[in-house]
Amino acid sequence: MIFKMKYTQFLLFSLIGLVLFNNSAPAETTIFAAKELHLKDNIPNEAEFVRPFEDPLPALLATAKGEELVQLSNCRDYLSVRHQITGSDNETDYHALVSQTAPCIVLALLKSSNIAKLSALPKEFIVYTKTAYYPATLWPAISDDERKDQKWSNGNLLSYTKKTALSKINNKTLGLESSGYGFHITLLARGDFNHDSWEDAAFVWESYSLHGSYADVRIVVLTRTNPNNNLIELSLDQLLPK
Amino acid sequence: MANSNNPYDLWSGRRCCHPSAPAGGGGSGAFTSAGPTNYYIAGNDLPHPYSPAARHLIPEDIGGFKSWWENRTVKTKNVETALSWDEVKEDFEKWEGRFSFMYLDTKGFVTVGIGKMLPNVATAQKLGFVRRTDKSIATSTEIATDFTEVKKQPFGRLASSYEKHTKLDLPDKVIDDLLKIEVSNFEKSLESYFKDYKTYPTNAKRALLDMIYNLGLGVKATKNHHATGLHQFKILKAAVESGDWKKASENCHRVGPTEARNNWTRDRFIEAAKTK
Repeated sequence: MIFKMKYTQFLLFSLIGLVLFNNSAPAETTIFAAKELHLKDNIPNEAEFVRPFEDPLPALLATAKGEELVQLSNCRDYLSVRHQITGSDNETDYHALVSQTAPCIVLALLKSSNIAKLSALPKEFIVYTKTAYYPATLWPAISDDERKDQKWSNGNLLSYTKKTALSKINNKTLGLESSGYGFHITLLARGDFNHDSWEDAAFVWESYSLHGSYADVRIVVLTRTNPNNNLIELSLDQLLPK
Repeated sequence: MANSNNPYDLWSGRRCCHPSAPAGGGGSGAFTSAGPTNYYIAGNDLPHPYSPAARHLIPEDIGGFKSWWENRTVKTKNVETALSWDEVKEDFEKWEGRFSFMYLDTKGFVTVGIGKMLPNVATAQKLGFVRRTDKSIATSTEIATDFTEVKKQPFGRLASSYEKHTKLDLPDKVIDDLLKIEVSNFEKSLESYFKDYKTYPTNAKRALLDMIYNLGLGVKATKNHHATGLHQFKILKAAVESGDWKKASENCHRVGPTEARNNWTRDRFIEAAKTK
């Protein structure tokens, strides 16, 4: 009887050990910042937050007094008003604003990030191309009809697009085209952005239509706590509250 | 004529009234009702005021008629509405901007005027560009030079930042004419997609024009293909076709364009809802 209990306990502990071993990579992860961010170190300093944009970016803000058009000179300017921005001079300028300020969000994520103690992320995303691992929310859903669809909000890219793999666009970027739309993702940073000890990865996500003027840019943060699970998208509003 | 010996039987099989019978609302003849014929009056039994039956009306009946008249439902033929060119131009300038020089759009395509994409040099060379310095007609080579210089630049920049890479401008009239052609083509697409588009309130037309310009008409979903363009907005389509502009205003939001543009589109449908 005693032998049986010890044997059962042994099996249980072995199983737990096996699960833990499989679930996490070694704890030695570092904070990573891509070269495109032009940072001296992986954690941005204040000078990098106030580095001027190529041109001041016009931004239309919703204020208590109504709409106000301001010029944003650097990331610090942008981050202080980003929740109030409703537009720009025109769509082209708005797209310039969104494209050029996307790295500012990653700077803010890096500034508050921790070194992850655990990681269930692939070492190299550029070879991690199976769509089954990626959330369907990467697909550019333009209408509210689509965004309410459970297959989009909870499914994976494979089931949503029927495409099995992302294409390698270049050494840093993966992409997918289907149904008249496409998107690219480029890794910009890795670290523990939500302070849960697990490693997260931040990508710049650029979407476009093949037959219309639609184009969009945003920062996407992906994570998971088990290498066998699919990646999930973390809400930027929770990572960078107002 | 009907097979009858009665002189009041007509060929249609109806029985004619006596020639000296008093006229109803439809004139003398075989009308079954003495009521007016120019309106369909739901739930109203009042006779035509010139009909014999009207002699027996009492003031209360007429009072009821007055109340009905104020709240009447009249079935009339749908009337076509026309967009104002100045308004349409203003709408597109507001969202797409207006640039006389070539620039790169959000996707890196060379563009000019009010969001007119130029897929290649040949397309640009067909337009009447002029030299910025003296407004004289530009040559094909000069147009190709401007196009190539702009194309070389990184995209995702402010539209105005490309001016320094160009020497030519497109005259205002050409810019307007290009927009007219675009709008006309989009309206044709909208007419094919929405039944009765021609009769929609102008505010609804302005909202739909903005959406189709931004998204394209697209195609409907199949087993292996998601819907694209306007076809992605199924709830909106149903709302628009039933004239439920309030519901349309709640289902026109696009992810990608600015919130200001989305709010403007929504407000156009709200305005359409106020149209009698």
